[in-house]
Amino acid sequence: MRGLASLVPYNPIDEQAARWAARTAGGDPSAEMAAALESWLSEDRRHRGAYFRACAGLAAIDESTRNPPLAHNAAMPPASSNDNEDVGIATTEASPRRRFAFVIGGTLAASVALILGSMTSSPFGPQPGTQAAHRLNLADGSVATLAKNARIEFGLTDGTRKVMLLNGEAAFQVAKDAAHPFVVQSGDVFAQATGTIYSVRRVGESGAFVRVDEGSVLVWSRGQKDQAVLLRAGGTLTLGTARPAEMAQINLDDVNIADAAAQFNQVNHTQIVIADRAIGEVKIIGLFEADDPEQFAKSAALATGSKVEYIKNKIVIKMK
Amino acid sequence: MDTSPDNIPRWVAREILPHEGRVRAWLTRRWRGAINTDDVIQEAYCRLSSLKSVEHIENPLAYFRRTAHAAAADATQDSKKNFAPMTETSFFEVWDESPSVDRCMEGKQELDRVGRALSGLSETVRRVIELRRIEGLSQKETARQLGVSENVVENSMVRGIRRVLALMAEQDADDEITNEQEDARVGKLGSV
Repeated sequence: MRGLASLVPYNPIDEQAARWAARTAGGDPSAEMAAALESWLSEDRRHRGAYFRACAGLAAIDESTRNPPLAHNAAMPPASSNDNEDVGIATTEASPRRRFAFVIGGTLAASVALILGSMTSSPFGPQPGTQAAHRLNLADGSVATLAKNARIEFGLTDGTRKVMLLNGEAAFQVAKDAAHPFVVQSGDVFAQATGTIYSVRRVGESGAFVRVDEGSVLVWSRGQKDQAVLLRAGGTLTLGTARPAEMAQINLDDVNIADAAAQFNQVNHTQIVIADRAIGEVKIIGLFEADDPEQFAKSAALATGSKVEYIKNKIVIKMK
Repeated sequence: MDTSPDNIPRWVAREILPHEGRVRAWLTRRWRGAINTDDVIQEAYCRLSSLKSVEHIENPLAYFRRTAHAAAADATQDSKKNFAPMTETSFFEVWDESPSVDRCMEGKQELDRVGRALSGLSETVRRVIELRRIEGLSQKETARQLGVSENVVENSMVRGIRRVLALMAEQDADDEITNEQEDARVGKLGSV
């Protein structure tokens, strides 16, 4: 009854105002932007009020970021704990203990915040190269290490070194040649590097899991290179499977954990059970794989300071 | 206190935003369907935005209340709804104008609340805020540093701002809950 949804319904003006505040956050907007902002502001007094309010929100963020709170409420995870370095961005510092994961979906990719569960060990099996694997010297001097049952095709087309990953998983040690981008294609997913070490694993009918060990790799889905993600060392990314995007992912924007769990339960055999109502009432934001209720449950547990237990086909989120 | 025009957003962040939930809840309860609370709040901020200085405002909460009240009154006139505005007396009965001890402590708690709201957001959003606001990087530079599109950077900032504003709009609404509702709420929590 007193949740965000009831008191503060979604307001398109607030959304636009926040966007303007975000754009002009650095001060000194370009002349065009200043003109566009002024034009929007003069459309409606409410625009002016909402923008003013959003700028104040930005000021509140500044103040809080510069003076971070010392004590955190137990219900929220501390922002800087190492165990919670779980989320969405491939940073420049590579740490072997860290596993980053991205979930990106279609045209929505750029417009979502990413909340992913903490993964202490890779759920994707042993690293290629550490197991008995097949080494292949490619014509350009690069080396491909193929996991069992992996199949690739290599060729130079249109100035691009192109590897088609037909099956399984392969790691690539890419010979430096900036003039000829090295692109691995797995179904509808492309991963491009100039000189680096990375591996690509086939996921589903047309998706891929990409992990970068050295350097950086640009990853995108077919036809969406403009939304490519730059993955750096230590970063991993799973992109696109054969399922339609709206089925593949569940996008949560300020949704009750209870309602979100119901969404997952509709499409999965494994059911999420929320043991404490207080947990279910917490709002959550994030983009999740629809068929990975575990990942969602872990994130929800992380966000509420609760824990996850597994009972047969159930994932139970309960108070610690 | 530095109250130069550049610092007015900061002043609003400290002195006005934290009271928004309370004012919002009161507007909604008192004016029922006669006004659109969102519109009135936005209009109230619009009026605040024309302030050249805030030095003369001794009691920001009271000032915000009056501004919102005036905006609500004007809104009902604009829409020509047949609504009898409250008398001044009934208006002031609603509020205790003197800041209570609790309220004085709020400034500090405010930062904690905002911090908690932000810590509930994804690492992406937090990193974007850090780079944009502390390191002062542009949207483009931030995008490059994080290896994401500018769109992601912008949306992250939008999400941060919206989260904080939503928090401000929501909190303190409890103050406006009547005893009856309060009892019901306690009962509900008790059964958890």
